[in-house]
Amino acid sequence: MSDLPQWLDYAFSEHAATAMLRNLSSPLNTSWNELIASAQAVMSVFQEKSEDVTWYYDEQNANPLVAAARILDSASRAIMIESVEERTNLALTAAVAYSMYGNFPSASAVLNPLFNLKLGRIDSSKAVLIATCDPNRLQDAFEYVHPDDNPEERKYLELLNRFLFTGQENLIENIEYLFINPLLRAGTFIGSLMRSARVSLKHILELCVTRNLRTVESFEFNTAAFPRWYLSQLVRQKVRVLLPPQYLAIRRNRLLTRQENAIIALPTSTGKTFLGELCLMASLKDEPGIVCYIAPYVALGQQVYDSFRDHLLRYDESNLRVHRMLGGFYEDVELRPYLNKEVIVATPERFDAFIRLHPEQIPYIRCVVMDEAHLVESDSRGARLEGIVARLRMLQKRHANRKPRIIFLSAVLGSYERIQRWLDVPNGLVITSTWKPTARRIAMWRYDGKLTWHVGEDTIKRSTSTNRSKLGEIYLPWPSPDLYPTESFGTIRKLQPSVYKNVAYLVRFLYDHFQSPILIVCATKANTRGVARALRDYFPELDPVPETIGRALDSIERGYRYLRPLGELLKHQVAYHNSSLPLTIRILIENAVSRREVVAVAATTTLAEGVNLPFRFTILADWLYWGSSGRGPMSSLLFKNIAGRCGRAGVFTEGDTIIFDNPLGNMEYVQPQRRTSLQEAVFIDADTAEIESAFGQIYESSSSRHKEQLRAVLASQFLAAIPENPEEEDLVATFVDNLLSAHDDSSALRLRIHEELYEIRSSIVDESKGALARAASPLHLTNLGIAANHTGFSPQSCRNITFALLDEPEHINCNGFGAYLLRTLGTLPEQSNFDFRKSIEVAGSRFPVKPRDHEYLLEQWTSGEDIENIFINLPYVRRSKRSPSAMAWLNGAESDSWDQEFDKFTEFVRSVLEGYLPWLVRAAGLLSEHLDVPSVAQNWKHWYKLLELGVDTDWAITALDSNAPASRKAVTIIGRRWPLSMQSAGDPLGIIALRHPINREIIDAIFREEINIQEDSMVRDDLITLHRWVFSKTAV
Amino acid sequence: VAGFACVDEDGCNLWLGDPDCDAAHQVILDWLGKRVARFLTGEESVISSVKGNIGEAIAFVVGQEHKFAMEDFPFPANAFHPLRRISQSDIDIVWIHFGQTRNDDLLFLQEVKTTSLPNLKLADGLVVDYEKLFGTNVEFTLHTRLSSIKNILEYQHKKPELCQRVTYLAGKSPQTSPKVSLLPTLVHERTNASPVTKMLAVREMLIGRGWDSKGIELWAIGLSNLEDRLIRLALGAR
Repeated sequence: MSDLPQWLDYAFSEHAATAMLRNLSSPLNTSWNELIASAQAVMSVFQEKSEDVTWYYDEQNANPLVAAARILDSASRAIMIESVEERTNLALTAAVAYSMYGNFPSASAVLNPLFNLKLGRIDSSKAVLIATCDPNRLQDAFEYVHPDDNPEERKYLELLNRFLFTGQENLIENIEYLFINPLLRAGTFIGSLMRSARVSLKHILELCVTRNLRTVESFEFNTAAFPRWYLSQLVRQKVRVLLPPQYLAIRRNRLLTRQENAIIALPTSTGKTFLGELCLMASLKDEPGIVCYIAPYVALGQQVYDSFRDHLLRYDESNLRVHRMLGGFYEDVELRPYLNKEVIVATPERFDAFIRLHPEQIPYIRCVVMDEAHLVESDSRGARLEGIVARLRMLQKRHANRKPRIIFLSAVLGSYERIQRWLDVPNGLVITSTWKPTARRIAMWRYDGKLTWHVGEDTIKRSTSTNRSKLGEIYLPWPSPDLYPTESFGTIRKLQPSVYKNVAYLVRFLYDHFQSPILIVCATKANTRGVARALRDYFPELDPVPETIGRALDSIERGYRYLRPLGELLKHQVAYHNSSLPLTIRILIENAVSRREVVAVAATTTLAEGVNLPFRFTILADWLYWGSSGRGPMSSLLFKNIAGRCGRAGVFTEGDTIIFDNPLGNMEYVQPQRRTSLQEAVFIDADTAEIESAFGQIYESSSSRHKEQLRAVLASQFLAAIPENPEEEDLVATFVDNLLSAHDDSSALRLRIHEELYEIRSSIVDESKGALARAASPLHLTNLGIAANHTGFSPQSCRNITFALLDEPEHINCNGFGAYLLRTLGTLPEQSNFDFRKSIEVAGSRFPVKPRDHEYLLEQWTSGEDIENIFINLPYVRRSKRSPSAMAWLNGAESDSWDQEFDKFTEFVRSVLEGYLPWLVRAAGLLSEHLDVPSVAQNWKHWYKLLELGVDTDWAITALDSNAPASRKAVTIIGRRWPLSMQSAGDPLGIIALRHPINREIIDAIFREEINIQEDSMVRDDLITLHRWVFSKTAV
Repeated sequence: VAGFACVDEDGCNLWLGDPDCDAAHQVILDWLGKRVARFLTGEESVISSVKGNIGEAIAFVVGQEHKFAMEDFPFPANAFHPLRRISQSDIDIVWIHFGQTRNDDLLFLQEVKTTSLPNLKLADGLVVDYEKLFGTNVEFTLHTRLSSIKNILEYQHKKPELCQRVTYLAGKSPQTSPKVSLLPTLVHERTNASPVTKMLAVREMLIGRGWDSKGIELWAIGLSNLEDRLIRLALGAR
């Protein structure tokens, strides 16, 4: 920037500060004094640039200021600067610098500790300054500004508050005027900061959410109209100022007023979800209808749903409803889009099911936002997503108004051309930015003991720097250096503890320096436990334990004794987190991290990809991962997503990801030179190629199983397209044209998919197998085809289900039927659990669940039994002579082998019992209505619910569907004892009957009896809660 | 102008009363009379911070009368309010000369120490004060002070067009600040003191900290009966 003094090399200074804060040995090292002066000089230059603050929203323009803020922030945390007063002053200056380019989250992150530690005296001028750097601190600022003592400062705060709530532009001049007097009255230091904060104030005025979202006629263009109650609610929820990329998307790209599809490819923590929400709301502004937010993970969907509820439902001033369609496949939600504005948060599977089952609702769909849209290239889930988008695209092309609008969100997309062509997104609606609220650092810890930080993808670079340029390094020898490249399974197993020890050592090193939470990402659940156990030795046992950890320990002791080893880790402030853990414990660990009670968590990518927790560092313990095509380096997209987990905006101002140079794995990857070049390419260069169609894997994957899965998805999606396009003459060609595969650079893939679909089409209309569609042009589904489409299975799988039903012996209960389906249809491509499939295909498999156990297993499952008790009673487990015994493990003995067996079992429960089997039962039920299998046709709906929820009575089903706050076991106990005479179709829970005093006595007695005989304290507590819940319903 | 005259001794500017110290006293007193609303009364003690502030006022008057032009901008910390019992811990006097272009602008930083003790040890504090300009406490750095000065230029002097130029007066260190000159100033008891030796030592220390010797102008302002004179000035007495 030409305005900067010639002596100033801000990129050098930023790199130097980064290196010095980390105590790195670096040629960049200089004195903090010079760095601080450089940063202040930058602030001084930018103080005078407040004419058009949108200039700052181009990161290239703001980069010197970004560097200045980071330097001051680093200096405020540098050990070399010992004086608390100096550090406080530096932090305050850093906060101002962050806010000067509209980075209010980082200003807030810097200010929060000052408030928490009550450092520094706060007078009225300082309070005004703080509110101007962090508008969410406005309420706090009022406390320090008494209206009698400081009337002008008070007036300023009041007007600013009013502006944030209303966005009224006529207040702006007065606010700016009122800021001047406190500035002149302030002392030299605060006065100098307030001069800088004039720019911050301009940003607040420009980025104000209400100002930007309400219709203002003086704008060059009309922004979308949002109701006043909604805007007020956003402000109350502390959504007060937009982030610069959000502002540009709304104002420059006109994201909310244009109708075309859009790609929002913004980095982590730049508010993509909120932009998605605004797109949905904008689509609903004029009329009722349906809008949908598709989240690939249940945890992410839940977060979005909670956020939508906070923003949309607090005030019942509209006919707007928010629905959750997460988990399960077919649970129905009643929508009335002709009357209401229906907002759906769904997984792709649930959205797919929704539009298959309710084609009459499709015309009401106004907008679909797809989060983590880059997952379109990943396996069968991505293939399903591609199929859904293709169907939506066909829908758009049939409608002149291009509805439903499709919005793609992704934090990791690096190249967009193919997706842009696919979705027909105009250039102006490919919304990208490199603007990030937090700095992302990257480091490698290599075998030679060098822990090296690289420049990485950061936009602040010296003219001579590349991503791989070094910022500096520390010599930190691995404490267990006995690791070498190997792919031998036995050797890897032997050497794995050394990996754990090294990683744990690094965690302790980082914690000693930064005192901030650390996430360790591992490839397997076993590795999460291994790393966590190694960490225990580095962190002393707490006494007493903090509150949330105490609750987790209590929960383990009462309900999950087999997790006592985890309890021991928690006492040392460390934990592991993977999908084998019960949800209750996972949530408690997440809460403990949020409250900084747990300092290090070893987790699989599930936590790393989904939930937004406040980690300062991420360590990649494993860099080779198992995928559908075997083991290979983690993809750049996944890595970017994981790296985005540390340095949460508003909590931290930077996040470091460190890759442990793990030499264990396939030799083609772990040979030293190859390893280094691969790691640098994937993690440091982080080049991202164009998104590939998952369907391409049908021809490229080395796994026949994988190919089979993808073919099934393709066929299922094509089947769904038939009724949605009743007038399409050549559906195969049209469907192919609307797939991402058709936009591949080479036409080969398109041709292959085209051929594949012709085969699928031929199969669908094949009358010898039972036609699913009539071979006319256009295609029309037969009744069987309609049922098949409603199942979501592929045509071939539907036929297999049909054959199984026709062969089916007369089963009298759901468990027998479920076991039969698992045994006969457990190998369909839609069933994704590899171990379970193998147990059916291969005699003597080591999977703990054998085909002969299925019925017993389902009896246990539907009786509400806890999964660890089901596991312990499996014949394979009971027969085992291992030491310690499974029973000892259940009671808390440490055992890797039982842990790993249980991992497999919990994965089986999640994917097969809770997922695949209910889906299969439902499919069987839908198909049975067109076959002569009355037992299934009559009972499937009931069986489906019993198997999905793992209970055995209607009462229990209704209770769980009504969100009863109790476990499966507790509702099963009461469900079995609840008198049938007190249940009816209109009152399945018997709540109306319960209003009668005699019935109340009966039920009360049942509860008391069960509570008294219950030995398990957790179930006892659940029964007490359930009792309270049931009786509270009678009052309603 | 009567009141003070300057003698150069080994590169140190010795300012002495002209024709005598009483004449200098009168000049200062007249200046104070125009500045302060009221002088202290006999019942009010003249504490050391007030004496220091008066020392700054003396340095200011000398500078204004003998070194700087009317169009140069002075930004004193305490000299305009010398009788206040609290001193601001800023650079005592900042002088800015705006030239024809940005390249011609100059910045003078005058730190003032006032002592009636013959050992003049207080002068060592001048070095400490100048060190803060590029220190790690941003409360006292040169850039902080200059930003604050920009507020005064814009809102009091109504000269917003000059603010950007102020930005470029300072660098990141003494070596990168060629536009900056230092005026370390000692207001001292005239009799029985050898300020030149002390001030030359101050210069050596400043050079050791990276300042260019050409940018250091040493001032020693000697007044007889300084302790008594400072009290009389505070009381408005001749």
